Amino acid sequence: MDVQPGDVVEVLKDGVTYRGTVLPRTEEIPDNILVIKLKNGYNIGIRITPETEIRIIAKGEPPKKYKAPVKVVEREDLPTAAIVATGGTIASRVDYKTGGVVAEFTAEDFLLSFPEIADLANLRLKQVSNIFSEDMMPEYWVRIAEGVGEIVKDGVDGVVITHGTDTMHYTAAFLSFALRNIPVPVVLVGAQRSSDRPSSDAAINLMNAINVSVYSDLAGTFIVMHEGMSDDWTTIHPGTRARKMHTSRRDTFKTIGDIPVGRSFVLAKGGKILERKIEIWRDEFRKRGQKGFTVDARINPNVFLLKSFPGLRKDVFEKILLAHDGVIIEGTGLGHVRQELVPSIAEATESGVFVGIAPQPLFGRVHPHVYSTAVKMVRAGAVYLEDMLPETALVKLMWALGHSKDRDKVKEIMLTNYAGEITARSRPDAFW
Amino acid sequence: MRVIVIAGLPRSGKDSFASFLPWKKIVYSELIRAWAKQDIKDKRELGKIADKWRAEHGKDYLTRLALAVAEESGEETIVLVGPRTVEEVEFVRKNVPEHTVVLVDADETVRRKRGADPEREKEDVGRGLLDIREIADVVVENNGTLDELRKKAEYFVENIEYYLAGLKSGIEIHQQLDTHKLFCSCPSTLRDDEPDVVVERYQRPVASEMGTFDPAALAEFKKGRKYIYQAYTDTTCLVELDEEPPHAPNEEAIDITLTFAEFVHAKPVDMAQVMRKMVIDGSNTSGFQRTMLLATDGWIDGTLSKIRIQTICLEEDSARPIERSDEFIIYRVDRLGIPLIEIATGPDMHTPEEVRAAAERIGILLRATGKVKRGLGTIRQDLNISIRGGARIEIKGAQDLDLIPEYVKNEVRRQKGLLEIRDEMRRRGLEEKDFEQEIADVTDIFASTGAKFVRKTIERGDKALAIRVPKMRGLIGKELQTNRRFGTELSDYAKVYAKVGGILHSDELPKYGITEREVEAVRERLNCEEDDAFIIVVDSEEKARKALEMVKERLKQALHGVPEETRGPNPDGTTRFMRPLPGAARMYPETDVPPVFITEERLKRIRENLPPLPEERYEEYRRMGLNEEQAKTLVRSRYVFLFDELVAEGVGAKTAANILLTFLPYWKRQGWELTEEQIKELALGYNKKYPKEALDEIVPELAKGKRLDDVLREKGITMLGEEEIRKVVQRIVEELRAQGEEPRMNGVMGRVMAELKGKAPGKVVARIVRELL
Repeated sequence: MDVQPGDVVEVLKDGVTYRGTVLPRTEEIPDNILVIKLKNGYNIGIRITPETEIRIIAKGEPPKKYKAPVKVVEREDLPTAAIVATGGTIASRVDYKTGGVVAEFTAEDFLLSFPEIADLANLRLKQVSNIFSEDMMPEYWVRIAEGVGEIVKDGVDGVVITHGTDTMHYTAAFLSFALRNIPVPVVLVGAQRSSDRPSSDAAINLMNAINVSVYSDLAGTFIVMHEGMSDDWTTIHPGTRARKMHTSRRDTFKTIGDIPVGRSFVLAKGGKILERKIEIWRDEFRKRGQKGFTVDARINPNVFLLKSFPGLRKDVFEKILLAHDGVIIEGTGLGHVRQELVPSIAEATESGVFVGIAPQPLFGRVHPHVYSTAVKMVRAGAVYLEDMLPETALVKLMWALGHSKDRDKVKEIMLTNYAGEITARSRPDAFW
Repeated sequence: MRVIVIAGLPRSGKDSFASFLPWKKIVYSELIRAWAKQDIKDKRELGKIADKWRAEHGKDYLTRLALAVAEESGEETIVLVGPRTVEEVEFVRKNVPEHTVVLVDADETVRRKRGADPEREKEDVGRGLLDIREIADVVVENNGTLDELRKKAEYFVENIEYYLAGLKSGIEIHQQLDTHKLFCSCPSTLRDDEPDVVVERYQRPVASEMGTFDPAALAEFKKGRKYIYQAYTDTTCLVELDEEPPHAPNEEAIDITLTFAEFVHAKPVDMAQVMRKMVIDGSNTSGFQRTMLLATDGWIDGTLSKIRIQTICLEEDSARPIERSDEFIIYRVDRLGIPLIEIATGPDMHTPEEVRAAAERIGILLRATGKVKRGLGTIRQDLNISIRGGARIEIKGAQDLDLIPEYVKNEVRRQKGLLEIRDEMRRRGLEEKDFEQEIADVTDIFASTGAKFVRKTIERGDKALAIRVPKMRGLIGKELQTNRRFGTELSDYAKVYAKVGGILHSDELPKYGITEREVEAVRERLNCEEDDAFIIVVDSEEKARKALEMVKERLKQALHGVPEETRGPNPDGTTRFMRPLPGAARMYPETDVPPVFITEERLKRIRENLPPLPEERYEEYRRMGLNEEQAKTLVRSRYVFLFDELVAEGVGAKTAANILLTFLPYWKRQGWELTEEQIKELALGYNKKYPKEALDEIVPELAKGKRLDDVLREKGITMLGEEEIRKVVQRIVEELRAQGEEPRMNGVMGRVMAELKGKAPGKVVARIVRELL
């Protein structure tokens, strides 16, 4: 029987009559199961046997044309924020008839889902990709950087980039290096609960990201996400020091090895903004309006991030080192690998591979002199990258190798602080 | 005139059923015979004549005839027996307000056994007799004996008022399961101590496919209410706080639900998809309740026929509201995620007692799974009630089984009363626009009133606002439920929507210190005519105005009869307005949880391990030697599974029953609470590790949380073997003889028991003494 999703059917099996709308099957459901939505809203599956009788009551209708019932009105008294979408569900609608979730990206959809935003800023929308954050590739970072460059040159007061949270801090690190002397804040934002749920953190994160992007005196790349489990304050993290630290909590992002840039708070009630606040704790980021903006997005992605661990095979270690133009090793403790592996580092650096050492403990600085192993590693050509986070070091190395093939030049770039990735002082309050 | 229509296939027993009813009967076949003025014996011949008349005069002809005969008889109640066509029944439904249509039904095999003629049956089916089932108010199943049918008829007669009113009721039962939570491994523990985690959240509605929002969800969002969730680090986790995706569903909870489904003959689905049912009041941290439909199409026995169990779902319980205000609601998430079985019956109950019986039966079957929680709040019933011409009302969260019939009775009374008010309003020529009256300020009239609560609020700066209610004098004071008048219904709307304390209406005034003069002044201010009523609300101007607007709305609804509502149960068996009936549930799939496939192997395992039904247990316990009372109590007891366990481990049935049914309640009254583990130890050691005489010494110690062995050691309680007892008895007998006394039963017993205090059971001692004397 030719039953199509959307058809209303009656299924007779074992003396029971089920009546409902046929739904598309998802991957985890075997072929012999017919999934229908009953009138009471429940989805059930019926295993079709030779005795099962299916009657089509009505053929499905093609989906109706939809246009968000919202009008976008620009207000002269409001600043302008650019929203750059990279993928994922930002504004979602739910189809109660089929149970599907529809994700859209138009200003109308945005305002339908987040009406408060009309109170915060006028919007410019730009979609640069439509992928899950785990599918993000370095080439996309370049596209995002160039997209932001165009928007900023057109003149906006701030940029908000909606991004999946999985790899958000890699993108943030890249933009921190690529958007040189940007005059406005670029704020990456995402959600840990998708926006098809009433409890989604998308709205609050988004409102705060816009708040920071257009109303703060910051410039540079930042991440704005929940500060705690409550819908309360959000934290402004520096783009080079933020890290996803929890698989599922709303406050997953933490500033590692430094203190956050500040925090932001927006109170909205029934679709209206009642109150908004920004606190800035790091004056060095108050650079709104700085001159000399360029997009410097040259990269060489042939770089590897390698975690040192007990039992790491020498042959594999060596192959990885030699297969890349640069490798960041997450060294244990103060920045070590097993002594047996040191000659492989020497071999790699001699053949022109850049080897950088970053702290596996995440917090604190690697040190090239305390233990003899480190001394040997330095002699083998490894470069100790201070307190740069491993993922940030990886992204920075791609960027550095995009600028020069010369190892000394690359070393110089890697050890120069561009965007807070290396601190001069280890603050006592930067560890929790 | 009140008309009872009784239909049924030949040999279904409709005539027998009718014969048990005490009212005048008009039997269609006799009517045809009389009207045809021929003595026709052959029923098929009669049928042919009837068909001819139907063709000539219309398909409802026979009923029109029957009602004419009924009219002539002057009888108040008439039973019409044996219509064959839908039209014959429809005529009654349309023209006689007080009626009920009964279908007497017997299985085909039963009818054949009673000698039904298949040919005649086929003709009746051709006339449309089976379609009458679709419009019947009541089905009477008659597959049993004549005596059983008589009992059903007697029940029908006793409850005829409800059948004539067209009462229909269904129930939805929510029962907490005694397992860990449905989508995480947290224990299902409710707590009253201080929570150590507090999280504040907001929720927002999600647009539908067409960009629209659920109006109720939107209204809630506009309030901008904050939800404060309280949690415990040691018994709740990130799942309840919506900070972690749900884990795979609790397999034990699914098994329990499928076990219950077996008990009620329901058919499990092959695959269940966990759904998100949108909730709007913040009672779920996620904004939706996770639920799955596991079985459909079951039944339990009812009084006159089966009661359908339409759906059996497994869902998560919501968070517990602790405190509410306009700005926030505080919830505790300890209850969130506890597995709930949700059982929905068809609207198949027709008397108040039937509703209670069905709820009770389902409760018993739930407990028979052995895995449900007990105690206050662990089972909640929602009642759906309507009468003919009325509307569906849902009474939410009835807890007390004994109050269920009261809720039903009161609701029938309320709906009848509202229909009477509607008819009277129409008779008085009222229309919706009559209630569009200007709101007038009457604050000055009450500035120095003797009604304290009015004067106080006015002194605070509040206003007294009033409206005229044309031609409603006497109706607002009409009682709908005990101490609840139509005015109370109006007041409920004002309270719920405008958060005012209530209303004052002219049918109850003068009262509360408000004088006749003040009433007259208001009437004059509002230009009230003689038969007009008025309503006053005293509160802030904004709230009072809103309250009166809501009252106007409710008055307009009264013109249409009964509005569909969700009502809250009151402890006295009455109900109050809570909110309008919600629309259909908005559901979409929970994509974080894979579908649940219900395999044949799983069902086989469940069917092979079904716990016994209460009636089976009863028989078994009687066979074990328990008396009627014990067996009956035990079957309903929470300890029934412990009893089985004890017996399986070798404790005598009577001993186990004694401990669980007699001793345990006594200990409880003493304040000695024992865990199941302690009860088990005690039962296993009964007259083995210690004599039963020592129980009063042992149990208070156990209640302090000690283990039995420790208590026995501390107290020096042991159980002597028969040989040791015999030695003591012998010694005492000899001592007595040595003293020149003749040892007698009582004397020896007393001395032995005093010496062996707590070491030997009296029964054994007595036997040995008797032997040695």
